[in-house]
Amino acid sequence: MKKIMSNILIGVLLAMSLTLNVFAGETDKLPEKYKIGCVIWSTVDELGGASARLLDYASETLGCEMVYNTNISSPESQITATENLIAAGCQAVLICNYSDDILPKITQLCEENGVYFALIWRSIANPEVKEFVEKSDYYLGNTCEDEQDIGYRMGETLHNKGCENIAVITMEKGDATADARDAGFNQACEEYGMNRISEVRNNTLTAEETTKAVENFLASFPELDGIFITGGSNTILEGVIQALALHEKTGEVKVACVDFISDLDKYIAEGAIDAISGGHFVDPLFSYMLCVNKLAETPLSDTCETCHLNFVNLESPEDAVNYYTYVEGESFPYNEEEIRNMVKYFNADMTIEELQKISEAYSVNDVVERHQ
Amino acid sequence: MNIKKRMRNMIVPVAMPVIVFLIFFICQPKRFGTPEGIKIMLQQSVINTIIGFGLSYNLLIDTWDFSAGAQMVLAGLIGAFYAQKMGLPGLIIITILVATILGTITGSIYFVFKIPSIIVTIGAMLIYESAGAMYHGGANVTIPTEICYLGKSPGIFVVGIVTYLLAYVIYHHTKFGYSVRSVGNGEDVAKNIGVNSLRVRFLCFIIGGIFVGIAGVLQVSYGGAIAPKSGMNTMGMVFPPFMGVFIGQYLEKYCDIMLGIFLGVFSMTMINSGLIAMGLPGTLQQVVTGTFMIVFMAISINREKAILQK
Repeated sequence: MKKIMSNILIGVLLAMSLTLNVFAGETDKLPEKYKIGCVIWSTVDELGGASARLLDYASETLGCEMVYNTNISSPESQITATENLIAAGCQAVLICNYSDDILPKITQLCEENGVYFALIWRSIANPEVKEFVEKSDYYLGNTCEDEQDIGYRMGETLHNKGCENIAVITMEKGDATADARDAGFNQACEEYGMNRISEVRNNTLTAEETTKAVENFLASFPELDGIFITGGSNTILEGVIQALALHEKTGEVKVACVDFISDLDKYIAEGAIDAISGGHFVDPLFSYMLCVNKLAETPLSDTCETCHLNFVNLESPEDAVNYYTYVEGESFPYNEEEIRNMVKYFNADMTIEELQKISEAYSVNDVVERHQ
Repeated sequence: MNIKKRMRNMIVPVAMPVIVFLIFFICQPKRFGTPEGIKIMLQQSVINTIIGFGLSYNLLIDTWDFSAGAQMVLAGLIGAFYAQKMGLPGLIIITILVATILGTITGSIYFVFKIPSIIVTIGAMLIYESAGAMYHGGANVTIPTEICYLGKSPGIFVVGIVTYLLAYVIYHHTKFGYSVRSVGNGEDVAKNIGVNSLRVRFLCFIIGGIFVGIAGVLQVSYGGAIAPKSGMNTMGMVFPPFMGVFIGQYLEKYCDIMLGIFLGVFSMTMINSGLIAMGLPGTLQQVVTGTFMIVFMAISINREKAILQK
């Protein structure tokens, strides 16, 4: 009898624990495994890779699925990439659009297929396109940084470090982000009376080509005392550092750059980099949250919304170490609980204002304070 | 050889670089053509010249190799990764070995399937680019500064001269070189005298791979880092060497083709440096470079036609 009773007891306990586990599992994940696409240039470079890892982490936490399409070489190919993601069954798409001009077509595609979309790292500059896109029920909004301001601040930093003659390494005209950073830098040049002595424009620069470009600057402009790089990923910044080291100009020619690369603490300590801003890999997370909340039928807003993000500035080797320890290393800037709290399904108090507050508060100190 | 012909053979090959130099020197005497500037331009010409040597064997027999840039990037990525563990020997051995293997693979596909070289090499380029993007998680690879000395003077010039001698000997003093020239002069005639043209084409890819590997070593040493490229972005890397080979082929009447390739690449490098020295906006720099290429090809091709008509 005792044996029978103990077996029943064990059975009941097992059933209870299983039920509790299932129940716990259900509250952890969203009711459906939403499939979210992302049109991005790459998921293997410093910026794209870090963003993809964060989105994957968030999706794993929430029980969603991410699909990336990196097969994009031009604004037009981003339309095809979006079409492919829709065809692959994505219910929402995040797009880092190279140009405003493709957005009406993408809006049309998404409306026809009932797919939501949001922009990452971008805002719509063209007023006509903006009006058209924002009318759509399927456009949920965007996350963006003040690109012009960061260009201006880089120029200001170079001026404060005593630079007067600056060369620029940037993308070909038409890249909205690079153009905005460049415009901000030009504004700083005008205000502080600095000379923009030369430039190189190339969308596919390698470290070797960048080294060549800097050598040409050095050979032609002995007065060169500063270099501004509108986007330093893909070994562009490494190429600049290498060229200055080859000609023993490290520290003498000041370097200001947007986008982080690895070994920043070493380069900052060596004086190879004078101003660097980046850390905006978290940007897609907020547009992702706009999509997830909408798909979970707990939309944060009835209209499209914008989340603003600040760039992270690293000024000392310690800043770089903190950044890689707390923000972009093995840990993520937002833990599982914080990610779940961004979704109204799990956190009834979440509002668009709250999400915007989180994005605006993002900085190394913010992450350190939350996770230390 | 009469004196007039000798003089012409000396003057014509150097005319283009001299004219390009003078144009920019007159426009920007303070900014262009300083001894340090000339040294930098020579240094910058070495890598594209070596790629040009590798491509020249294929181009001489009307075979296009668009995969050379992707080969160089993939071999450079793997070589740079091993350089972090094995130092400079790792960089040299692995990069050249991988590039040669990739050249062999491209050549084998061409040899086995007998499809046009443009299709084979574009397909191979896409595969190598993807392999580069997947290798080591697609991360950039940086090499220690201590092992970068082949990327600067005098190391880069020593490698450049040795590679030139290698290209010269292969082209002028080996059976393979004779076969390349004979296929280049007419495939049917070459076949009639017993040259296996398909085998020659296959070997051209392998020899090309060796030169691309050497260029890859210098590229990694010069830039100090290498990143994977995708979306056919490596195709742009072969156009400056292509241009060098076209100029070299034109100058072959007056001097050694390999020297002509160097003079062509050097002229293109001077144009790039000169446009930067003139402070032209980046977009306009590309317009001028493109115009130069079209004008040069138009003059050289139409001049040949005129001579033939006479």
